[in-house]
Amino acid sequence: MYIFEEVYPFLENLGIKIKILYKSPPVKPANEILEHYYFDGKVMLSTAKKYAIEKDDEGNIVVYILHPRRANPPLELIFWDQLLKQNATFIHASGIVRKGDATIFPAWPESGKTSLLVALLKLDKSLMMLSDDYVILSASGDAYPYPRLFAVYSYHTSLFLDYFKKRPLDLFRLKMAHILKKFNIPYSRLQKLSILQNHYGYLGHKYFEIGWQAKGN
Amino acid sequence: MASKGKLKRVYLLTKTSLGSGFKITPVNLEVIIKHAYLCIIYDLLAPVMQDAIALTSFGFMDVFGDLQKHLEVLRESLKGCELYNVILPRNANFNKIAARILSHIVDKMD
Repeated sequence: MYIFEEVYPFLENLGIKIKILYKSPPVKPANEILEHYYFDGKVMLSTAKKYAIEKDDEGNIVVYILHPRRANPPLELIFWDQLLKQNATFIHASGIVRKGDATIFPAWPESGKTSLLVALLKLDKSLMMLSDDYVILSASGDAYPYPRLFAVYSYHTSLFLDYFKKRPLDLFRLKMAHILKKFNIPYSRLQKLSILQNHYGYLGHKYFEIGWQAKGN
Repeated sequence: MASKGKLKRVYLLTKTSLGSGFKITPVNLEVIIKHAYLCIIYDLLAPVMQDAIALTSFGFMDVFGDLQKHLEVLRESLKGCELYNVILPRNANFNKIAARILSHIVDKMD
């Protein structure tokens, strides 16, 4: 999950222009594809996911959110497409920066990206966090942070002890998910606690005493 | 603070259920590229494949071209980097692994 307030100025800083408008564009559905995707030659509308997309006269991507709560536009897919136009891409990895040199840890889910990152940041206070889940790599070899929230699973509880001390219900929820998983009972809604910002601030930076520069540097 | 940096090192984390120790070994660029390619399909594309097809069909993006470009950018960005594979045992002690990786990074830098 990305962070709206941080992502947009950050993308603008990389020269990517995406407008998000909370209103419906004028669409006269002409072509239809798959389930509930309509296109009138200029605007594509997804009635199932409650979003529309068009390119404005300057070539910028405009995304219309049709329902603030139920809209589910594939924004990261659109970000990725725009990043590639700037000779940059996403890599699924956590990462650190030391003296301006970036080190990244790509891995499949549940392999230890977050655990290793937290252990490194606790071990050496001079390390700076690059990212927890997604890193932006440019063809010139620069690595940029991508502002996503920490994804916290049951096996991460020991990393965030003081958070769970104040939020025992969250701890209970994750432990339940862990038990259900053992018995192959559907648990997907319980297994992940993706938002820690109420307690730690975005990206857990209060926890690690690190800051965040939305505008890059 | 979270900040950008020049990419110097890549440690691919690989879980194994065999043994209890962990080791760091040099790895081929193609292994990292394959991982990063498959990961973007699994993590970014697959959950929104219908949208990707619709956006490609109506000319807002080009998934095939994007995957090709993704490979090219990866190859360029990883050029000259030190590449390692970290084999992690199940129930790994991440404090120990972090200490080892940190000393590995520091040895290479200082």
